[in-house]
Amino acid sequence: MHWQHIIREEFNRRQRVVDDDVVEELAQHAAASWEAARADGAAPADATANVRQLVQAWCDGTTGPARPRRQPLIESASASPSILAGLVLDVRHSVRLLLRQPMFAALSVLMIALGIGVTTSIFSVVNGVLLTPLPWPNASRLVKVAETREGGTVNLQPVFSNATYFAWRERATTIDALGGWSTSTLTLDNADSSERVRGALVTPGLFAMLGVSPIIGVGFTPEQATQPVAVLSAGLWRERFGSAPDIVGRSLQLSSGAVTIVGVMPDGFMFPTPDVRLWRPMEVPQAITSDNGRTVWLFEAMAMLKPGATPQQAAEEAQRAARTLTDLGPVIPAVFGSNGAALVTAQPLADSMVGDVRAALWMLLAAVVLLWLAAIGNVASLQMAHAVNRRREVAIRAAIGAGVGRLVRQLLVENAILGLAGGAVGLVLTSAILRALPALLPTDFPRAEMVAIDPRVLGFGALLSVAASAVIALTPARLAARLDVRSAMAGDSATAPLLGGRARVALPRYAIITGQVAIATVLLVVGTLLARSFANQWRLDRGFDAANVLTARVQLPASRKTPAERAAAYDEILSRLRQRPGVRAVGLADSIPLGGGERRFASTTQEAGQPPKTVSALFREVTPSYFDAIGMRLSAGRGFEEFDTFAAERVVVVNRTFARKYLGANPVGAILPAVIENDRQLESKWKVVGILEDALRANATDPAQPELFLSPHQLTRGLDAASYVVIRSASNPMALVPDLREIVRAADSRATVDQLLTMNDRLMRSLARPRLFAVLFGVFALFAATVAVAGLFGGLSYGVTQRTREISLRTALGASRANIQALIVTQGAVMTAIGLVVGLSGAMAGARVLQNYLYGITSTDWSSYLLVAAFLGVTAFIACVLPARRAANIDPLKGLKG
Amino acid sequence: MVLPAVSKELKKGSAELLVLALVEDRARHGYEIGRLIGERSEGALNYHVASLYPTLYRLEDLGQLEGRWVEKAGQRKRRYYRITADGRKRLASERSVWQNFFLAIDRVAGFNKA
Repeated sequence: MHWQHIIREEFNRRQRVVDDDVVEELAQHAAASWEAARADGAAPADATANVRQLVQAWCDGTTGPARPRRQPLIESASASPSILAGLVLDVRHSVRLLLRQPMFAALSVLMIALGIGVTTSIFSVVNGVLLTPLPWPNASRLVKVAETREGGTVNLQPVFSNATYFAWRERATTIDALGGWSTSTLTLDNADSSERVRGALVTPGLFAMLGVSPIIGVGFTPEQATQPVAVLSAGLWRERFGSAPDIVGRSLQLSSGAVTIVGVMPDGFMFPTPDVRLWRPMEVPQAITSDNGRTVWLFEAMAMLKPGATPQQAAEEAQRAARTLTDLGPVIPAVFGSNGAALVTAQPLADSMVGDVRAALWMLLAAVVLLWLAAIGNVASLQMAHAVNRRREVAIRAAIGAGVGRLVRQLLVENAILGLAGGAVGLVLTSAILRALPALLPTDFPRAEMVAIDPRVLGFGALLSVAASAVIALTPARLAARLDVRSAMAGDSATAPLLGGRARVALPRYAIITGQVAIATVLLVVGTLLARSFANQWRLDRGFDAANVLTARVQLPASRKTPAERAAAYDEILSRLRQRPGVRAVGLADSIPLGGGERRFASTTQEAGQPPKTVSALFREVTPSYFDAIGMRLSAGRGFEEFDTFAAERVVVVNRTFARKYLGANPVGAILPAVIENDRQLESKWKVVGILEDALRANATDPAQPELFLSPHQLTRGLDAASYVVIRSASNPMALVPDLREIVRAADSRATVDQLLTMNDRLMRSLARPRLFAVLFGVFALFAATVAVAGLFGGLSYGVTQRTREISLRTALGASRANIQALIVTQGAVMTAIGLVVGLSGAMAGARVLQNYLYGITSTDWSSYLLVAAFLGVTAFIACVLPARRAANIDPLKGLKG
Repeated sequence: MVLPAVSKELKKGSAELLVLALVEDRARHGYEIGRLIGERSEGALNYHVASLYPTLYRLEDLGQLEGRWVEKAGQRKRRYYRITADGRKRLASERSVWQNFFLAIDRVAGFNKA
């Protein structure tokens, strides 16, 4: 109601001249009276009629105000009681406004919450894994050291040799301490059963290097290095000993013998991996024994830098020391695949633990930040559409004296409420995602145990909320600041487009939609590349047939000391398994593909007048039916047979790479150019009877290695106490698990079965990281695409509503339905095309970082880019067609009437 | 207690007294003054707004009220009226006039007998 207008008219009609102040004051009184009447329950029409009467009485009265005078005395807003009181008012006003449009508010909060929830979840992983310092006091001075040999071809886990360890320690000037460790699985013997736990061998000074003391006992003394002692984790101490305070001196029965407990580590101490529950001392043996024999030990090692020393200096010093070593014989080429000069690297411990997930995590964070931007873009679009509808409300507030500052503040408060509500819901979402995280992350994901909601994560979430509020408030606030009160009050929103008002509002909205398409394009390209890379790795021919194969590790008790005793148990297990229905083949091996713990073999021989010849290969001992069970294919010759006994001719099977590298043109029947130790003698007459197709290694990007297979039946030491059983089944191999357990228990009640996995499980586990990244990027990309298409559809539909008059006019002037449809579709197509071009070039630039994570596909694979462009093009077209049809259906008569 | 409708003449004569009394302690705006007169008299003196603003302007011209625009956060701009020193003198004299008037009426008509 424009009371000022009405009042002035009344005065004019009575030809009375009054100043603006009087009109303003009376108008306020009229507005207040009207509101009071409404509050008392009067209908709007009645209230208006009452107030009109009042106005007439004012003007009729003989004593009516008639003086054109008044000095303005304006008290500025700074005289207001407090900023806080104003804020409370703003908040109340905003909440009322938002509650009036619950769908709009809920949609905005949901969008912001999804964006913040996903982004904060990924940030909490980045925070826990990459940003949180290692929990040990000395961690900043610790470097992981590793050595290899020049020209080495073998992709090893980082290892350090005892030879370098001693050579460096004796003359070290850059470091204060050097320590080593290795992990293994141990069997704890109970009265009637056994339990497998993860244990670590550590050099006695290692706890002190980390700066962590046991809560009971003092850790290992140097003298204890050779003694059967152990330190427990706090968890194991609680479970096995009920937190007994007199734990020191008690003994614990391991399958390898009894150990005396000398201490307990504090809760939360996890080294080197979170699953280690028991530590025993490791004595590093000298590389050259007193009788001039050679012993090469490999373990993981770290050094504590002297203050001021750099990892680079330490590595150079260690490398110099390693190069002074005398030749250690064929073990070195066996381990490293080369006998070249030693190379030593030193890397901050934290970096070495995180390894290759660092770049992937930053990429994921970048992806979710893009996603967050896209989601916020939709909220901002909504807000802008909303702001246009609210121009009149805002104009009225401006007209009754609210300054631009106040209006902008009101809009900011309104959006801050949306942003904060979204942030709160997003954090709830984050905590839900983090709870589900352990199940989602690969088991070997480094430092996953550090992922939690901490103050930094909360701060990040809050920052996103505030940023979201600011971004979505920006455009409506600018709109308010530029508001032309008179035209907004004039109130015919349908005329605005013709006056050019629409373009100002529409441009930022179109920019947002284009940006969303670009973001969706980038994420879809990355997701497609990762998914195809994963599919390539999964489908890869690995030289074995993973379908319907069950694998498990069988551990015989230490009481079966002799090869004959072990063979008896294994023979019983194999023969009973073979009788089970559905079992096609059963074999045993000391290690299996994707099973870890591979052994290497090397031999150097020299014929008179010839240079020495070194053979280096992966090495497995397998029973005759193993090749059938795991599904390895022979390309020539035969596999092992039952008649390849200890008494028969010595035979080996090798893979293609081995044959190509070390054997001549006719490998089958050739004599192996190497010696193999058997029964404490070096035997040299090993005949190659079969050639296998190459089997790829766990990491698909690693090249095939030479492999050598022996039958344990021809070796005096026979099969190891821990061997893998491989069962090929006719159908679901997991159905054989109860049978396997029962058969192993029947063969020896103290034998244990663990690592029960199908070959497909092992394959999936080995691909857990590529799969995780592909799935995450895929989900993010689809989400971003949905957001972009929704933005496009919403934006065009809104545009059609706003342009009803213009479109009607065009139709009235003779535009056909097709013209109108083309108008809208072209608009959508232009936004999509610009978004695609920006997105595709962005993806092209960003994908280079990705190359290390791709297998069998390049980061510039044009077919993936084309696929994404086609997919987005088609969905965008569908999103354009619906608003276009609506536009074409506008009745020009109705549209022009408004 | 509900007063019987007070005559128009009485209301008119009392207008200036009522306005001055209401702004005696603090500044108020026109709508508030009109509303308070209605509320405090429980509806009996429902002031005709048509004469409220002329009264305000007259008192302002006489220098007994001072009006000024005030803008407060969260509120529209309003014109507040404050009593001046002259206004206070006028209020005191009006009060004694009315008090004497009431006493005289009471003595004649005997309010306390009712």
